[in-house]
Amino acid sequence: MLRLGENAYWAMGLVLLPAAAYVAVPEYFSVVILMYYYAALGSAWNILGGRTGQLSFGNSAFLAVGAYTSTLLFLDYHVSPWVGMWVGGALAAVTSLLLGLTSLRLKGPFFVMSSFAFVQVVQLLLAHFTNITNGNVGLVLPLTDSLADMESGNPLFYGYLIAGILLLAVSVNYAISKSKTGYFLSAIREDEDAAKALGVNTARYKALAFVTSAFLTALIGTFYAQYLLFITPTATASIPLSIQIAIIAIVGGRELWAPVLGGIMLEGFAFLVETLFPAIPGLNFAVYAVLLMAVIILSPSGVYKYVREHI
Amino acid sequence: MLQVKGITKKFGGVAALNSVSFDVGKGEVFAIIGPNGSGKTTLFNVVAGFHKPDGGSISFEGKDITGWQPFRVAQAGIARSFQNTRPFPDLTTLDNVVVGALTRHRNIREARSKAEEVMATVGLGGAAGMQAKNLSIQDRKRLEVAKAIATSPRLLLLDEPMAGLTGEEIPDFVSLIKRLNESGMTILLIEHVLYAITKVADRLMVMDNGNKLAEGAPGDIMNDSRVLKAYIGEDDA
Amino acid sequence: MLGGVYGVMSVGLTLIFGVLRIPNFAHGEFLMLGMYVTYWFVVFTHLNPVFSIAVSAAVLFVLGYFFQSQLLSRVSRQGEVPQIFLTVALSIFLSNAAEILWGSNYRIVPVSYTSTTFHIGLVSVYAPNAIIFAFSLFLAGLLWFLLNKTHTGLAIQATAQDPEAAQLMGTDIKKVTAVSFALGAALAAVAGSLLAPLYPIFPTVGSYFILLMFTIVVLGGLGDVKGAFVGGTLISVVLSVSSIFVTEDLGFALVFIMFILILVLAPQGLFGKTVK
Repeated sequence: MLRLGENAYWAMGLVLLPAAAYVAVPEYFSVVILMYYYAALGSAWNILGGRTGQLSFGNSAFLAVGAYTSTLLFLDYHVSPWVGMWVGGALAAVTSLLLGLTSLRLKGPFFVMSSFAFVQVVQLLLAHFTNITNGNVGLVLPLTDSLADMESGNPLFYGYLIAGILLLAVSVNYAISKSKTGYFLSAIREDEDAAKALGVNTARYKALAFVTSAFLTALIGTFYAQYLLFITPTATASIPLSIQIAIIAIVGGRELWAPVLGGIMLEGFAFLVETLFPAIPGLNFAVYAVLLMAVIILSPSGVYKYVREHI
Repeated sequence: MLQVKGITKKFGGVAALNSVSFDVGKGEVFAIIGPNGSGKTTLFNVVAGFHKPDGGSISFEGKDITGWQPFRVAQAGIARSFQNTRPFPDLTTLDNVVVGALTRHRNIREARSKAEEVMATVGLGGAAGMQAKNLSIQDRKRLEVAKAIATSPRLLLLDEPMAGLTGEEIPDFVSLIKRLNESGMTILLIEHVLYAITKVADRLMVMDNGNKLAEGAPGDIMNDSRVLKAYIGEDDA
Repeated sequence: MLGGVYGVMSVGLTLIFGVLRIPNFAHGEFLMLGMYVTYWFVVFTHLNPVFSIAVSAAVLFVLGYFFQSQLLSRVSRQGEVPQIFLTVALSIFLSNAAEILWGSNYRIVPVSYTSTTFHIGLVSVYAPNAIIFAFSLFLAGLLWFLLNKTHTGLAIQATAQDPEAAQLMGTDIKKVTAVSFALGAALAAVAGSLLAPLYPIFPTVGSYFILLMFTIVVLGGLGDVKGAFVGGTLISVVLSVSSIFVTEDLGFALVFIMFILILVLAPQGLFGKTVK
């Protein structure tokens, strides 16, 4: 019952924070949005990387699929992003299924490499087909401030949009953890051959985890496009962003709220460093890296577990 | 129940199994013995689908399962244990067994009660909440069997379940195997502990160097000169 | 000729990933540091960049030794995941440290020989490419000799394949691993120094090369020095042939798609050397 209590506190906190920040520190509201954005990406990554143990450094490719799908549907066919986001999710799911059929057989560093290669391919293709994607110049969404177009002049809208997506990602994680699929995914992470020997169709469950993770990531991609109203191949399908997503979940841990804690912590940290030393670009990432090394060596199962056990 | 016909398996040109055939009847305890490197574990891996054979066929309850993937073999009703025990280290002992039970039960609650029942059968009831990586060797051996029988197999493959056990642990394990067999499970067993084999095995097959050397009742086999030679050869080494 | 460039980049990674099996995602940043060392060496001494090789190799040897013995070795028993993240963290740290120290602007090594071309019969050869090709052949040969013909090399291989057995036979496996990692880092630095006069130098230049390097090492068969060299040549052929039909960016996309397929279909490399 303690677990239920914790879930309720987290959910309440996540719902109240945007409103509180909007009233108290409106000038820093974008920090809350970024925290939720990274928390959601980490939570989506956790399904494949944390629960199943297939480390992907390629999730930003699905962010790009989501962002480009809803944006192109809107620009070329006047389809509302409210619809486009689900189309993007479906497209990302199909893409991940096709990729997963080949690459999910790989283990450890080889899967990591294949995911790196995949992001590169998506980025190169988005940049190459300029007649559709406008290449590296990127796509600009028109400013309409209309809720029907998933836009608003009020930043609270975006705060609650990403809060909704974040809670969806956490709920999916929760549902998986309480299901047969969840048991099988952790068995695959712990020892894939032993899971097979018990009759678990490991290829199918890994693909399921990959598809779910890709689908959720694509939804966040649509949010990204609507929030910034500007997307480029290098800002979406990027290796640094992919790595950042993985780091959030590794620093946080693989428990339900751990990637959320990871996202909030790391974005908070980056914000602090940028505010304190605005003149040194790159410092926030260097600090990030040191933090990551410290967590891996001192508390390999993540900050969330460390906090629960020690504080 | 299980028919293995002319199984051959080569690794880089070297035959690890050379046209090995045997049958296991329903309700039997069938044991395989032989020196290290004689091909016993390779044979298990072929039957369980972890290695594809280069020749020969395997059928189970009349179905041809040659070359099936491991998970399909398991779903067909054959469960295996690993010689070097393969628990899911970060999961609790109970959850390790629940994973096995879930391959037969849709519902988590049902799987959990099945798992608890299995844990009691193998004598692991007290260690349910412990992480599998912290178990003693004896309990890891028990867990290895518990995971396998949680999948409600009709044929159970046990790869040296008693290796590393000492003294009174062995009779305990022997009686566990007897109980499983009496509950209706057919058992195929690789074992080095000869005392255990003479106690539980209905029939015995001896392997050496990838070949089947002999097959028969334990009493007859133990007096076979070729078997003695294979074993004495090992003891010298 | 460009094959030499890719070949020389991957020699160090062949040692670290191919032989030691440490998935070193910071290898591109080792290369980047090698390039910067050469840049500053030439700026301050006005000597030929070739002379900077000794300096960059020494700097990266020390860095590699420190990183392996102080950080990586702490997690070496916990499998691949922490090793992957530690090297990824190092790669982020180094590229951002480079940005903090030297800014993100492109830098070009001020050197004269870059434009020299000489002719052998009908073939015109671009001097720096020829130097690099010769050097990479030399380095690959040296590493092959070291690994297969010397006592140290055999100890390195034994340690990588069966650490416990190597320890029983009296090898100080901690030291051997740290020294080989350091050696691999030094080789990356040498490659960086050789490439410095040819490529613009910037903090994230390593990420541009890392995938190609892994592709080459896997293509050649893990731990196979000659294979990596052939792999490098092959990649450059694919890149230049594809550039006839499609643009360069699609050529890279093709190489990466090929890479994924190779990983899945022929993980033992193109030359079929069985691993494990």
